[in-house]
Amino acid sequence: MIINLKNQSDKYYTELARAIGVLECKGQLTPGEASCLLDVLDLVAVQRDYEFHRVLDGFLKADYGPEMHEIDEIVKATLTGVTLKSAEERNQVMAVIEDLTREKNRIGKQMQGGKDEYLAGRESHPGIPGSLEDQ
Amino acid sequence: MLQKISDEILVDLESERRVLSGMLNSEEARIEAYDALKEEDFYYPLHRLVFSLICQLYKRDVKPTFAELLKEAQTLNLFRQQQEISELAYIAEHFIEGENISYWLARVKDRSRLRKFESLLRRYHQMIRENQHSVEEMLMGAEEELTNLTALENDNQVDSPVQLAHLGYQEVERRYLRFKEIKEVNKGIVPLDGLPTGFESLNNVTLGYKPGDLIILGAQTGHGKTAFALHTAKAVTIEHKANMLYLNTEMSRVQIALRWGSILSQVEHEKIRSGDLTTREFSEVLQAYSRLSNSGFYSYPCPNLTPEKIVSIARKFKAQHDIKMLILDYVGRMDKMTPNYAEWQVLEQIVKTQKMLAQNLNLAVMCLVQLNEDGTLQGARRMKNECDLMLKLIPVSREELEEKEQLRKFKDVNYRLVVDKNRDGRSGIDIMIHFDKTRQVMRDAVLASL
Repeated sequence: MIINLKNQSDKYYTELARAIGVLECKGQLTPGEASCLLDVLDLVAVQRDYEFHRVLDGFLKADYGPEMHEIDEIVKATLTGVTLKSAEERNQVMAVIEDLTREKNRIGKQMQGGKDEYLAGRESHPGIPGSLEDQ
Repeated sequence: MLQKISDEILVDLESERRVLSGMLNSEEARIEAYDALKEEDFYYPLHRLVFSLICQLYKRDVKPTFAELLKEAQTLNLFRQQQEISELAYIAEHFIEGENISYWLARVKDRSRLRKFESLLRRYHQMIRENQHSVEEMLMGAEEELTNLTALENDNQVDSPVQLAHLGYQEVERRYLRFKEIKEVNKGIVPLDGLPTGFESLNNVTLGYKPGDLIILGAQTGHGKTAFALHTAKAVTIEHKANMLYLNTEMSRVQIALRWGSILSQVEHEKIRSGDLTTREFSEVLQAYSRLSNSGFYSYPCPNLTPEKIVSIARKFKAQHDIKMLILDYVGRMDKMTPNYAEWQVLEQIVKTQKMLAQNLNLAVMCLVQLNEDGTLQGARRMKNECDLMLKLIPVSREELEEKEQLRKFKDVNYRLVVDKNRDGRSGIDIMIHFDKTRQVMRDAVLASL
């Protein structure tokens, strides 16, 4: 019997890669998507490309819900459309993702600002249905 | 009826998994396994497939991580079942660092041989039952197959008289046709059997560095060992376009790169080092590097080189880049495998390893060694026994030039290349060389009459 002595991060790596492979088998990921995710996994977990990890992490944290679907799709198309193994292409992709993250944050903040203004407007305009003064 | 032998005896899936997980996680294991095993040595079909995929990735110089393996399988439309992917994951995550890969390799290999043996016994059992073959025929056949099974992989070539005669005939025919070609087509210029040496006169004497050859080049400190190595590298990788691995135990990457700039551009090495270049020289150096970048020169500067490391690296480069030659610059700076060995014992050990390496990988190996101040070589007799070609690069003094008529026949001779041993041709001869130290370039000395 083989005794498993691998550390936790290696286990996560294997399990993630396995999950990607299985999802592709089931048809829940396209071959292109699976291949891209496996590349990302190798870059982050094996090659320890912390810069790439930081950029992706930044993008994922900029989560403002389904309104940003279009930007998410652009990032996905960008990631699946390049060879992540090439440092040059990877740098270009990182620059694009960082731009899009900034854009996402800008729009997201505007949306939040809009909501605040909307709520503030309801507070300061008695008579508007649902305004705080009505309650 | 022969009873079925238990699978536990014939099959060892755990060892197969260990080898494969080792290959996924450790380069050392990959090199060992790639060299020692074949697909059919694995019993389980999935393991065969995984082994084959890892080898394919390894040959393309792609690190075979689990993710890469899945991608490769996806490209080839393999492992389409979830169960297969889970089995792969099971293999990948059960690697234990520091495990002795050789032990597991031997187990896989042994079981493979045992299965072949079992299948052989079954076949001959069946033949006996059919009663259609003569006893002599069966015994002779079984003996031959058994010999093949017991022989070691690298030593299993036993030539029968017919095979040896055939080989001899082919060789003589090749040489006969080549000689005709020399006379008729090439007008006297000898075509080489191996890689070019970089010196026409040495080409004529040796017919080139041949696969399996061990070449030893000795020179005193500061008398052109590295220049000779890089001169050879230039002839092999830039002019002949073959791939070569250059192992240097003394110089840094930058030093090697700067030397190339000088060798290929003919601009003085000192000027390149200081940066004191004219615009034209600068452009010439840049052009030189573009030649280097299109060559087959692979460099591995490694100050703590051991014979085992050389074997691993050489195997890797043979598999991935099909190198035709390896140069070790130089033997004296290698780490000792056994610290309490005397210097000559270490040298002998290294040289023996290099000879085996040359033969097993079918490439030419050149070892650079240091000569004593009196021009002798420590452990020379032993080294001479092992090598196929022994050369000594010796400076020609002014007194020698004045005394020896043979040297005065040349315009610009300043070094002699002494052919101390030549297994395939004449030895005990001197080749006159001109070594331009400022540009780090060498060439045959020019005859005064020309």
